[in-house]
Amino acid sequence: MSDNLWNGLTTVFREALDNDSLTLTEGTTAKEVEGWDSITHVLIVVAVEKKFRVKFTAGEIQRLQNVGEFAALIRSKQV
Amino acid sequence: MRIDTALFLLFLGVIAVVQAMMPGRGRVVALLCASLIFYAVSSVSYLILLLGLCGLNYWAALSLSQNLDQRRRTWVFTGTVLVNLAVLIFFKYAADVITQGMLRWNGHAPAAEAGFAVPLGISYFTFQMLACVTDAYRQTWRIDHGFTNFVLFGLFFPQISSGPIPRAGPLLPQLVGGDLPVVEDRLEGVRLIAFGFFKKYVVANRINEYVTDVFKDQFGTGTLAALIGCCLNALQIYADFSGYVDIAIGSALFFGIRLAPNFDRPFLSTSVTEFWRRWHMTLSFWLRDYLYLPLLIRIRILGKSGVVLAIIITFAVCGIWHGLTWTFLLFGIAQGLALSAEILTKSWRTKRLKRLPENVVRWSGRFYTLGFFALSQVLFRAANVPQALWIYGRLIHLNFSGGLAQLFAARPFFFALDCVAIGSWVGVAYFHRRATSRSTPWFVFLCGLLIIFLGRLGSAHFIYAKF
Amino acid sequence: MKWKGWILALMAFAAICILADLAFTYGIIFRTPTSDIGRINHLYHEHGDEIPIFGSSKAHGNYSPDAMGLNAFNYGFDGISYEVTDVLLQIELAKSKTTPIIIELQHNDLAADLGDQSRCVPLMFDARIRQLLKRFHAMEWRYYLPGIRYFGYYDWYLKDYMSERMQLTHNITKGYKSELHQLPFSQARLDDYVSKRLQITSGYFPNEDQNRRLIGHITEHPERLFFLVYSPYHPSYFAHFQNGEQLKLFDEKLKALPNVVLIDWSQMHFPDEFFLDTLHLRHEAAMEFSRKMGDKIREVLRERSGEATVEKSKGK
Repeated sequence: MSDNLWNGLTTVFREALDNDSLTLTEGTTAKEVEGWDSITHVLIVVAVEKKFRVKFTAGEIQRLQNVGEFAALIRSKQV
Repeated sequence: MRIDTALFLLFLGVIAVVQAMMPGRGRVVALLCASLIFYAVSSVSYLILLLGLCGLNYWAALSLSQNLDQRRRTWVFTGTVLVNLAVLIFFKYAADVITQGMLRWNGHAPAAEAGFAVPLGISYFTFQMLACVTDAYRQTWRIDHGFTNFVLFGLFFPQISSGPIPRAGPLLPQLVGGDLPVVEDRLEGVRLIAFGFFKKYVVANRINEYVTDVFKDQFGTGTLAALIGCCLNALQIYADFSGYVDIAIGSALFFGIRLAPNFDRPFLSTSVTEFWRRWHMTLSFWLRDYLYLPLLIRIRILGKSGVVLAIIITFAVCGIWHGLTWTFLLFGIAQGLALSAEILTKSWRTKRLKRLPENVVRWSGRFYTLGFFALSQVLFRAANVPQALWIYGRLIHLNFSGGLAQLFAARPFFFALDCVAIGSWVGVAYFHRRATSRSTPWFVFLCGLLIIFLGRLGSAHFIYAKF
Repeated sequence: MKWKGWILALMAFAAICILADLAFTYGIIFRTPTSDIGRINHLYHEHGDEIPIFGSSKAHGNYSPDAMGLNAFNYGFDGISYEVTDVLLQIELAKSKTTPIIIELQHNDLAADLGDQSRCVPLMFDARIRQLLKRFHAMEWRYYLPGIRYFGYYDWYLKDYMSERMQLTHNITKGYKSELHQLPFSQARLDDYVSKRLQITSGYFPNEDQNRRLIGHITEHPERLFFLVYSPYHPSYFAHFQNGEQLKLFDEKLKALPNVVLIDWSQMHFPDEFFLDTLHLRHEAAMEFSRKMGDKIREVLRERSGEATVEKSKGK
């Protein structure tokens, strides 16, 4: 996985969740991160869409299970 | 059949005996028959209607689970959702609208017999079906059970009248298992049923008499009476609704089936946002998953204003769902505004509040949440907006003359009994949390005695039965 | 599953319920002579020469036996229909008494009401009471089961008992109830009642079946003299009174019976200060009314006994 994508994703998460020490792994899920609820999830998606200039469908957003899937989804859109 | 009656307990007993005598698959059929009978007692024609809807939704869920082309899936999904909603809206609002229309048009309402009753549990049933179809459409769940199982899931009698709203994922496999429940589950169910009866008859029905009086202008313009009325009103709704839910969940558990919890000690919440995660949880989560999130995702480009808009729309719909009145709409919008305010000020608050001791923050949060809830519940109870405004007016224009003394003087003997009865809730709840299989008979014994001696009949059905 | 615990708990439950039932029945309910049940109990056991007064709340609040100066007892009950009065009348007429009977008549009984059910449950031994409950579809299976039959009513029995012991809210003499803390008269409140009254229909809406039963009781018991009374209403009650003609016919029919004395004081002029609302009299007014009614009844009884002596002497 490209560091670029991963660093960008971490920045977005840190900003959205207001948590500068947050580190993400592939398996990180919403439940494990404080403040990552359904609302911030959508805000994160919006930020990601802006940052990586991609567009997700409603179904894609709702099916996301963890950070790894999110990164994979972004990569699939960037190609 | 009302589930807060001795008849229902007898019904449970008979079903349990019949079920225990059946072999594996027969037990599922026994539950299915029980559910059909339970509904047929209320109305046979509506039973047929609901069976029809079950058929439609089953077919839709089945075709959505198979890989059709996307266009056709969208058509099936949209069509089914529209039919479900049309039935719900027709029965929930059409009768009202027709009556109002006739009143405007020719000055008299149609005869009561000409009107149609709302089918038992139609709201909850519709929510349940919409969740199934949507899940199938999103491919987060696929149906792999037969139609009879699906009917049992749709009409499962403990939950059909007012929820909790079930999801097919966790519930359907439990229903078709056909295993006999373990003794511990049965006993836990019995304890929940006893606790629910206690909450309804001893607590809710007693409080109801005060609240009715306060809302009826019985005690003039006193601020204290209005304040107590508001608090008791909130307490009554909780006792009444969670009492119902306890009986529903307990009855299901009596057959070894775990329904989703609907309350998680909501009055301990420290914010309105948290409150809605702990109050009427199955409805909150349903609204979140099937209305709020899809809406938010579609308008996500608006950022934070999109969040606010989606919340307000969701809660406005939630309000209107309770009834087509301004009071319910305002109730919903008030919740939406509170939640929006909390979300928008969240980071600001966390920074500021860090300096204060944790306990102070927690308790002031609880005070604020409960206060907001009690105030907004005035809208829920009031017959119309002027009445709600009148109660609010009494709270604002401080007037401490008389009010309170009158409130209690009207029922000097009952007051002491009411205190004992409502106070016993704390003790019973404590016992309930610590009760084991061994102490179950004595828990039931205690609830039984309290109900017989301190229970009040009250003419009111469960508050949520009408939604 | 451990059955021992269940059996013990059930036995303890049943024992406590039945003991409480006995304690309430014999220690509280029938030991409260001024309560509704206490008064019905009095009706069962009175075989002397008391004149019974029957009717709904208008009877209960208007007729004070003391002020009437008669050996009478007030059996008026709040919020009841003639159906209940009919049962009480049956109990009275089964006795071998010859005293007169006073009945406050109602103009209509459309909103037939059983009143408070709690007053029937302890009297379930009487088949007539059971029938009454069934007629109102108010019979419940638990009423047959001592131990749980008073469920939901314990408060009421206790309240009656306590208020009698402590004389807190009202004073009851010979069945007449005077409120101790009646609010002072307020013209505004009465005007409010009057304006509400003017919006609803009042009038004579007969229940033929009930009328037939009443007349049946009267004709079957020629040994008893029936005083059928309409006590005063507020004038606004008659502002839009319907079926007045029909009422007149019915009154004539009653008057024609030899053992009936019809006293129609419904339009007797009483000042506004006399009225609690458009139907009921205030305490002082009830006293005034009772005095007048007592005089009237004594007068009639005197006349009748005079006639009787004349007839007797004629017979000789």
